[in-house]
Amino acid sequence: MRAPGLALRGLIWVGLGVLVFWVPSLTEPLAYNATIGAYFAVVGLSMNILVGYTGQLSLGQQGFFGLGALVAANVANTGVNPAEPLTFAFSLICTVLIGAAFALILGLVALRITGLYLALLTLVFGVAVTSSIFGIGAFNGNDAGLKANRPDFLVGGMRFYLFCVAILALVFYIDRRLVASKAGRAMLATKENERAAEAFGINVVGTKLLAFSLSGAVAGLAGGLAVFLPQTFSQKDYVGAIGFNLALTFVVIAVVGGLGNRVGVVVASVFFGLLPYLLDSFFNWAGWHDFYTNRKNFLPGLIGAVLLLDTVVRRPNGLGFITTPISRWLTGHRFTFHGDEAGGEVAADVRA
Amino acid sequence: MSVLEIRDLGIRFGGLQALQDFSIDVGEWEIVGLIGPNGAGKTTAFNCITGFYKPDTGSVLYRGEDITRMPPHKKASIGFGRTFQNIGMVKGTTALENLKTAQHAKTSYDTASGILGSPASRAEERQLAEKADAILELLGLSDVRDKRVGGLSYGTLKLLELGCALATDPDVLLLDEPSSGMGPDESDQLGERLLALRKEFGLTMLLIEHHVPLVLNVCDYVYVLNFGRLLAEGEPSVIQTHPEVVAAYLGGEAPEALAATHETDDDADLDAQLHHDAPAKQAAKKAPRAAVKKAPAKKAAAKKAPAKAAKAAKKASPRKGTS
Repeated sequence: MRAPGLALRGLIWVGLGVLVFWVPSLTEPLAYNATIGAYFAVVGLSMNILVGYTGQLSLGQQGFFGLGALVAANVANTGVNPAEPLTFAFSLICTVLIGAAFALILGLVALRITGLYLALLTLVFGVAVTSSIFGIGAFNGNDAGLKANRPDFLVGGMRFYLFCVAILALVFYIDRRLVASKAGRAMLATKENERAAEAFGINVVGTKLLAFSLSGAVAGLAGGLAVFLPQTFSQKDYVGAIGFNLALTFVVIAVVGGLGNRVGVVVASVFFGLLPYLLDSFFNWAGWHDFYTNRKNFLPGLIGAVLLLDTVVRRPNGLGFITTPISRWLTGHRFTFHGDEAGGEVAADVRA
Repeated sequence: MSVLEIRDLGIRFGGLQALQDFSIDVGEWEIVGLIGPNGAGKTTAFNCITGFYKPDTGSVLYRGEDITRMPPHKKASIGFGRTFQNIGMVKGTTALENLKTAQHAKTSYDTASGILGSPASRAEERQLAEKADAILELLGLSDVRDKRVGGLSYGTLKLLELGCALATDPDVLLLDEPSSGMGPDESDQLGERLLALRKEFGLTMLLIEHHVPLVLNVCDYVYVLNFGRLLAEGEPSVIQTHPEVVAAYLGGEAPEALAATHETDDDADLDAQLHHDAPAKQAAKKAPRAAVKKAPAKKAAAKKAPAKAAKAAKKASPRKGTS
C-alpha cells in the first residue's frame, strides 16, 4: 500500500473516532441525541437480520422494541436511585429474553406467510401488542409512567452514550460473525431460494425461527437502552400513531441502509435517529424556527419518503452503493464500486 | 437392493393427475434417465422423490428404508443431492459462498459457536473453503470463485449448480435438465463429466434430460413418462426405437397414430434426433448394465469406503430381461 493512501486512511479513521467519541461530549443535547442514534442503529441491525438476511419483512419491530422498554422499566423500577448495577444488568437481560420470546411467537405464526400478508400480520402484531399490553395499568404505572434510573456508573449522558456504543459494537460483531458462519449462510439461502436452501439440507423453518428470535432479542435490547435514556417509561411513546411511525422508520432504515448491508444500515439508523435534532438545529441556526415548529411532525417523514423512493427506484443496494466501497477501502482494499465481485459485504436487491 | 425404489407414486393437483402409478428402480452406480414430453410429470416426480411435494399415494424407499414423508432438508442430509430446472442457488453471493452454503448439512458446529467464532468452527470453516475450492477446480470453475453468482452465464450456472449438489456430499444425485442452456459440444462434455463423477464419487444418478444424445451416452437405463404415467422403460438403445415413445414425442396417442404419420417430415426429424449417434458407436460405448456397474467400482475402490465398493462389486447382473 502506498504511503499517501495509508495516511489518508489513517486520517479518516481518526476523524471517525473524533466524530464518534469526542463530538458527542461537547454538549449534553449532542450526547443525548447521539445515544438515540446508537440505539436506533441497534434496532437497524435487528431489522437487518430479519429483513436483510432472511427476507422476512417485519413491520412489527416497534413491538419488540417497545416490549424491551416496558420490561426494562418494570424490572428496574425498584425506587432505588441510582439503580443497583445488578438490577440494571438483569433488566437488560430480560429485554433480550422477552424480545426473543415474542418474536418466536410471531415467527411461529408467520411461518407459512410471505410478502404482503407477512407485512400485514407483523404490523397487526406490533399494534396489538403495544395497544394491549401497554395499556395495562400494572405495567405502565397506572398511565403515569415508570421511573427507570440508570446505575451510578452510567449517570452521565456521555457515559451512557458510550455504553450504548459498546452494545452497538457487540451487536455489530455478532451480525458480522453470523454472516460468516453457517447460520447466516442458511438465512441468506432461505431469503433467496427456499427450495435451493432445502436441497442444501437447510432447515428453512428452523432458520426463520432463529432469525425471528435473534432479531427480536436485539430489538428488545435496543428498547431497553431507549428507556434508560430519558430514565422514564411512558407508554404513549410506543402506542398509536407514534408507535406506527416508529415501525415505519425502522423499515425505512433497513431499506435505505441497504438490505443485508450492516454498515449502510448503521449509517442510515444514525441519520434517522439524529434527523429531528439535526433539523431542529439547522432551522434554529437559519432563523426559521417558527417555520420548522409548524412542520416538525412531517418533515422527517418526508425526508424518509424521498430517500426511500430514491433507494427503490435508483439504488437497490441502498446506502451500500457508497458505504461498501468506502468501508472496504478503509480496511485496506482497493477502492472500487464493483464491490460484489470482490466478495465481503453482502449486498441485496430490495426489489427482488 | 436398489438404492432408490419408487413404488406406485401418485399425486393430484386439483383436477390434474400429475403422476400416477409411478414405479422405478435405481440401482447402485447406475445413471438412470427420466425422459418424456413437456408436462409429462418428470419434475413432479423429482419433487415427490426429494420431498418437496407430498405424494398422495405410493412410497419412496432409499436403501430399503421408507422415506416418503421425510422433509426435503432431511433427505438432503441423508444423501439426496439435486439440481433444479431453473437454477437453485443463492444468486446474491459468490460461487464460493454457495459451495459453503451447500455443505450446510455436513457442517457440524452449532449456531452459537459459529457466532462466537470458536477455534473449532474456524477450523471447520477453513475445511469448507478447501472442499469448495476442490470442487471448483474439479469442474474447471476456479476463475469464478469470487464472482457473484447472479452475474454468471447460464451454462456456467448449471455447472456450478452441479458443483453445489456435489458439495452436499450426495449418495444419489437427481439432476433436472443439466444440459439445458448448453450447446452440443458442452453437453457432450457434460456427459463425460457425469460419467467421470460417478467413478470418482461413487454416485448413483437419476437424470431428467431432453437432450437425446446425452441420454444415450450416459444412461444405463431409461424410463419414459407421458401424461403422468410410465409409458416405457428399457435400455437407451431399445427406448429410442420404441414405437410408443416415438409417438409420445410426436404428440400421437397410440401406436396406430405412428403408422399414420410415418411418412411425414416431422417424424423424419425426430428419427434423426433419436438416432443422433450411430447405433454401432452406441454399442461400442455401452457395455451391458452389469459391466458398467463393475467398472467404476474397481476404480473408485481406493477413494470410497471399501464397504461401498464391495457392495457394488458383489451385485450381480440386475435387470437384463426387464423391458
